[in-house]
Order: sequence, then structure tokens, then C-alpha cells
Amino acid sequence: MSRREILRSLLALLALPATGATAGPPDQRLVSIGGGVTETIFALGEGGRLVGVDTTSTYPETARALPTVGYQHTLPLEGIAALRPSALLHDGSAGPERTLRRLERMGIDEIVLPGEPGFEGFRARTLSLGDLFGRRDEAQKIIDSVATELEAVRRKTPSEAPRAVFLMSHGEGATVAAGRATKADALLQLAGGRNVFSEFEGYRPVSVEALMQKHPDAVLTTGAAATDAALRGVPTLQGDTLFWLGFGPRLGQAVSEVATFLQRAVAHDTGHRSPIA
Amino acid sequence: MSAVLERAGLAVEGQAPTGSEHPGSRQTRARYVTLALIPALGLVMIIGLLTGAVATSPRDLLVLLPGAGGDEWTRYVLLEVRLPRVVLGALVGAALGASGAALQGLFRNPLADPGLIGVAAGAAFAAVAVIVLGGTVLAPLVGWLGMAALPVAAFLGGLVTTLLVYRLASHQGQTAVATLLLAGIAINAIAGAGTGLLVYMADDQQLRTLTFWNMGSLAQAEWASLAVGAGLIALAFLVLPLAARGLNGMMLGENVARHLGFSVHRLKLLVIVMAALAVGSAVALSGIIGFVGLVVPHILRMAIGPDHRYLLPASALGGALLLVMADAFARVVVAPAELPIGLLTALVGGPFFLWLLLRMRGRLG
Amino acid sequence: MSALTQAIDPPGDSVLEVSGVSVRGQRGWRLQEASLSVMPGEIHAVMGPNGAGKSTLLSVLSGTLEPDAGEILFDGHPLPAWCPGMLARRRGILPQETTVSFPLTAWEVAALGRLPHATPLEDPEIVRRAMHRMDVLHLAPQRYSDLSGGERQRVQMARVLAQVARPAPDPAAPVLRLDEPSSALDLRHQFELFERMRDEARAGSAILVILHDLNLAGRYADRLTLLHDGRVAAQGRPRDILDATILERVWGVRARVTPGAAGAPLQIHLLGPAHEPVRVG
Repeated sequence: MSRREILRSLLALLALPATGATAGPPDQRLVSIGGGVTETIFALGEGGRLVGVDTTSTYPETARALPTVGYQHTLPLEGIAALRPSALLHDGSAGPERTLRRLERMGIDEIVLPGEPGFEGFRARTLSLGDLFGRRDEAQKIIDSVATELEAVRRKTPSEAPRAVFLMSHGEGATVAAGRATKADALLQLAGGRNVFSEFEGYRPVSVEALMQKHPDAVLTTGAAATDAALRGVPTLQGDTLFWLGFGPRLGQAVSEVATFLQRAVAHDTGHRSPIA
Repeated sequence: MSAVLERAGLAVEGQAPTGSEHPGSRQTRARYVTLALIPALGLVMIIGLLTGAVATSPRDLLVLLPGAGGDEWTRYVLLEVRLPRVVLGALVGAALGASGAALQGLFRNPLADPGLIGVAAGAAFAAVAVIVLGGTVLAPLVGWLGMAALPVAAFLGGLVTTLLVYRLASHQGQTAVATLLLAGIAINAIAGAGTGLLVYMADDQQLRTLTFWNMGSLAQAEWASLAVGAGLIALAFLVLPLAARGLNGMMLGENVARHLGFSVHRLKLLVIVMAALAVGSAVALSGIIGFVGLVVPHILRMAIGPDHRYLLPASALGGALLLVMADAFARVVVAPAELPIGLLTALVGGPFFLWLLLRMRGRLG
Repeated sequence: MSALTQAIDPPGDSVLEVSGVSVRGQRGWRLQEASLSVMPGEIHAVMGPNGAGKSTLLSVLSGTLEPDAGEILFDGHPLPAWCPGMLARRRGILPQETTVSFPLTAWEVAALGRLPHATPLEDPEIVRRAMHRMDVLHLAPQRYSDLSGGERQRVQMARVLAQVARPAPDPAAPVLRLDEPSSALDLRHQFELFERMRDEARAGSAILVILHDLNLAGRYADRLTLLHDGRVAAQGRPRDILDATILERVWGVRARVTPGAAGAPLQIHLLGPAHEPVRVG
């Protein structure tokens, strides 16, 4: 998240109470971009304000019934305008930038929520949304419940953190691994694991040999990301990106699922660290 | 005196040329079809203006009149969102259609589509280079050219690939279909690999900007960026008709064209530079939109014959018409989301290309 | 033999004049001191075995090859001095074969001959007459690619005639050049094409034709230039220069040449290769 975006979200937070109602104005119509953001809005009981969501907003089931404005990085100008929203909500993932600027010119506010990965990001984002809708208590409740779940996970984590890798399908068959400063990295850490690719930031394509050389204890993959045959011996869990990386109210569940897998993976692995089967 | 002509049996004998056309000539039809395409394009553009996720009625078009009042919101949607988009669609479609027709005439080959032979890919590679390296290696260029950096780079990329394909595929003034397509595959692969390399180097923000290059999109239509590209495309439109007669001569081969008094060398240079200019600017504005340059000239050639004096303007009009129509469709079919327009043209153009290839199979050799 | 090679210059009004043209190749001269002239009203044939220098002469005539010596005068002016457009309105060239890249009708092919002109009103009538003269007017609406080889060549010839025709009275004689025009044609069409060429010549055109077939040359050429090893081996009326000796010397074949009686064409019977080449001269 850039400094400008943080500033913008702060401004948005400051501006909202000034525009009146502690609970958002009843005619507030929102478009939510990002699965975690959408999920939180529903969890806060404000799902009724949404008039549109992006393709990653697939939970809860009622979100699927809303008009979808497409992929978050290629939002359609007129498609969003047609929904006549008062504001567009996202945590820094929406684009293209020019479309957002033009939406603003059409009187559609952009509300940028804190988008850092990790628990703190989740907390800040949930609180911002709570403030936005005047539902601070509900927001706090969501955060507390996630915190409790995370605490439970933390108590069970082994002393030595399992070495894990998070693979993702990136476009045309290319498999990328998650590095530092990613939600995937945050997920691994919360689940008591250690990301073997800490030397780079963001998502990068990695070779099979680079993978083998890292001797991971466990592999997490999403979607079509293919774990190579060379890693056959390493326990692999395939999961849903939107669930794992949503960092919304279901964060606790996601972390707990990953943690359980990591623990089982280490227990299964009887000492020898070669990924070659 | 007229003695010579009489001797040659070719004197007109003072009789006025008959008004009715001789069978076998399609000039009258070509003229009418080309003229008819103008109001047809106008109509499709109006349909495009009235189509979209936001509900509008024909009466809303009144906001286009200067000094007209009306609802500010509708005004913005029509003037700032749809109109630039419809104009962009028309410009890009016209650029692709006309350059397709011109390249096919030059290569003497109906399969010479700017997308298939790699011109668009070369332009896209250069444009992506400007986006990714604009802040570092190419910073001086971007600083110097400003907003024009993207279209200029795309033009140069398109120019280099067109020259390369021409060198590779033509032998003694003939381009074999197979060689042309193979050269196109190679150029596409190289340019694609180069683009892939740049994408690999791109940061997250640049990566998001790049997504629209692959699929092609008119969604970035804005008056400011439109102005630069439109100027370059307009230049190509003004110059390309100068090649029409020469391209007609080229239909009989390079040597006959030369004997008909054309400078084949100058003709080649003119067509290649202008086609690269049009395609490069189009790619800079909207990414790679394939098959328009293949489908449109081909259909028009069947309808009005290959006379480039009509085929070039008709292909420009037809390309504009097709793309504006396709974009209107792309904007409403999954509203409020949008289909990428390049996907749509490939969906229609791909099978058309296969059909064309099948028909030509006997002559591929 | 010297009498045969001596130039028979026409009385001054030749429209195309090749004088002393030499072209150096990688191995010796490809063309050496070649001279010939074409007058309005005549068919002048250039013949010779493969490698004799015919295609080199063609390249020089087309302007694609610069001769090392000598020059070509077109209507009294050096060829390079002509503006391509003006030259195109005076000189039509029929290549051995023409490939058409798009589905044109026969009419459209013939009409392409009018490209060097800016006479849109007169063009259709000129094209119609040219096609009529080549007896292809009835084929006008048909696809060029659907025509037979003979028909195609006649359509191309109509294109060439349309190219050099002028709507306004003009004393300048058109020059036609035919590059082995009959090689793709069957016998009947060869004769037909040359009958029409003779008509064109009688009507005032100057026609230069590169030819392989001796009998066609004997029958239709008014004058003949024989090339051999890059040099002009003989030049003159066919009946004056075509005899068994020269055929054996230039082509290395044995032949029996029967001069036709008054006005009847020359008959050339090829008997076979000359096993023992006879040195002449």
C-alpha cells in the first residue's frame, strides 16, 4: 500500500463522519472490490448496501447474486457508473487507475481501505469498515473472534516452524511463488509456518530446482498451480485462493486449516528433508 | 492526328462514352457500396452511443448539441465515456481495416493481416517496453516525447516488424502464403517472448497496466490520449490513398507495376510506413485487436472487387463499423462487466481465417 | 556471312533504337555491341538459344539493368531520360506470364492498362475496344483465374493495348514488347495471338517480340535479330537470314529451310542435333 493510498483512506475516514450520519446514509449504494472487503461488509450486516461486486467476491452466497463488475484490475467505467453507486470500496487492489479517477469525476467516491497483509491489516480494514457504517462494535466482535481463533492456532504450533511454500497459478500456466510482503506470506506466518522464499517481495516465477533446493516441508497451491513431479514426496494442500487470501472474517478458519495441514506435514515427514521421492 | 488511333483501332470515334457500365466492371458498385458505408457507420456510431450499461434514450443525444442543457450525469456518460469510446473504436477499426487492405495489396496476399504477420505484436512489444522501462532505460525517450512516446514507440515497433516480415517473406516480388505465415509465426513468437520478458520485469502496478495489451480493449478511451493517436492515424489515412493506384498495378506483379510507370520501391516504402503508423497507433491506443484487418478487406473485396481506390476507404469504413458494433456488443453482453474486445474479434475472426485457409489450401503449394 | 550481320538500318524513323549495347557479366560479356531498331508498322523478333543474351537484352530494355556501354533510344531520347509515367503511356509490355493476386474479372485486368492515364471518361470505351481487338470482350465478366492460358494471354494483350491507346489524336506510335508470349500457349492460340499482333503492327504499332519458335518467327516477323553468345549473329528479313547454315551455327541443329513461294511463309523443318558442329565464317 502506497503512502498516497493510506492518505486517501485516512481522508475518507475523516470525511465520512463529516458528511453526517454515524450510520451511513440510508441511500448509500456501494460497489465492493475484493473478496475480503465484501465478506466483511456482509458480516457487519451491511450487505444490503452493496449494488455490485468484483469477481473475487464469492462469499457469502448472497454476494454471488449481486451484479459483478468483472476483474478487479480491469474495472469497466460505464459498467460501474450504471450501477449508480455513491462510492467504490477497495483495499488498493482496484484498477485501472485512470478509470478510478474518471469515476471520481462522475461523483463516485473512492474509499481505499487499509490493504496491508497480515492480521494488523485485517484489523485496520475491519475497523475502517466498522467506522464507515457506524458499526464499530460489530467490527470489534469480528476482530476478537478471529483473534481468539488465531490464538488457539498459535498455542498448537510446534517450536520449529515448518518450511512452507505458497504456489499460485499466474496467468498462462506460469506458476509463481509468494515472497515477502504478500498475503500468502502472512498466512503462512499466522499458521506457524515459515515462508522459504523470503528473499524477494511479491510473487515471482520460480524454477523446480529452486523449489527443491529450498527443501520445503509443505506446499500450498491454489487453482491450477501445478506442483511439479519432483515435489511429489512433499505433502501438498490445494485450496481456494479467495478463502485463504481473503483476510476477512474467515481469516481464523483459513489460518486454522493451513496450520493443521502444516503440523500434519511435519509429523509425516520423518526427518529426511529431501523433496525427491 | 487521329490516324494513328484509327490505325490502332482504338479511336473513340467521337462517340460519347456510354453511361452504362460494361459487365465485368464493378466500379459503380464499388462507388455505391463505399458511399453507403458512410451513413451505415454513422448509424452504428449512434447505436454505439446509445448502447451501454447506463440506460439512455435517443432523446439524450440532444446533449451532444452545443449549448444544450440536460442532465449533467447523462451528459458526462455520453460525452466523456461513450463518445470517446465510439470514436476510438471507429479510429482503431478504420486503421486496422485500411492497413490490412494496403498490406494485402502490397504482399499480394489476402492473408496479410497486421495481427497474423506480427506487425501488431511488434508494436505491442515496443509499447510494453515504454510502459515497463519508461522510468529507467527509456526515460529520456519518454521525457522527450511525453504522451506521444507510446504511439511513436508502437509505430517504430510495427515498422521494424513489417520490414522484417517483408524481407523474410518476399522473393522477387512474390510472397508465398506459407512463408508469409511462417514468418508471421516467428515474428509473433519473438515479439511475444520479448513482451513476456518485459512483463517478467514489470512491477505489480505496471503489470496491471499491461493486462489490457494482451486482450485488446477500448476501455481506456479518453479525449486526451485519443488526440495524439488520432493525429497519427489521420496522417496515415491522408497518405495511404496515394498508394491506391500503385497497389492496383501491383495486382499484376511487381514488374508489370513497374512497366505501368509506378516506382515499386517508393510504393513499398509508402505502404509499409503508413501501415505501421496506423497499426502502431491503433495498438498504442487499444492493445492488440486481431482479425479486423483480415476479415473486413476480404469481405469487401468479395463485394466490390479489389480496386484499391475503393477498397482502402471502404475497408477503413468497414473496419470502423465492425469494431464499433463489436464494442457495443462487448459492453452489454455481460453488463455491468465487459468482454475484452480482442477476445470477441478473435472469436469471430479465428474461424473466418480457418475458412479462408481451407479455401486457399489448393493454392498453398 | 558478313553480309548477314551487317545492320540493315531502317530509314531513320525507328521508334526504338538499341545501339552498341554491351553488358559485362561475371564470366565475360553477356551482351556485346548489340544493335537493333524497331520501326512503327513492323514486328521485330529477337531470337537465340538459351544463354545467347536475350534476357540480358530484356533487362536492359526494361531499364532494370544499366548497360556498360551503348545506349537505348526511345523516340530519339535515351531511355533513362524518360519519365516512367510517360513511358508507360507509350510502351506496353506483355510478360511471358502474369500472375494476378486477387480475384479480378477479365475486364478489370484489361482496365488496369489504363492506370498510367488520367482519362476516366474515355477509359471504358478504350478498354472495350482493346478487348474486342483481342477477341476477349465476351469474357469480360469472367474471373481471370477461370480463363484458359490462351484467353489469359489475350486478356493481358488487351491490357497492353489499352495501356498504349490514347483518346486524343497522337502521332506517336505505340511500342509493344512481347516477352516469349507464346510459350504457355497451344498451337492454335499461338497463331491467333500472332495474327492479332500482325494486325496491330499493320495499324501502326512497333512491336518487339522475344521468341523461341522458328516457324512463328519465319511466318510473322518482318525483321529478325539472332543473338548468339552475346553478339548479334545475324539481322534482317527472315527469308534473307534463316538458312540451314545459320541454324546450325547458332542453335547447333540440322534443319531444312524451304522458302515459300511469293508471299508464302518460310518452312523450317528441324531434323535433329548437329553432331559435328560446322565452323562458319
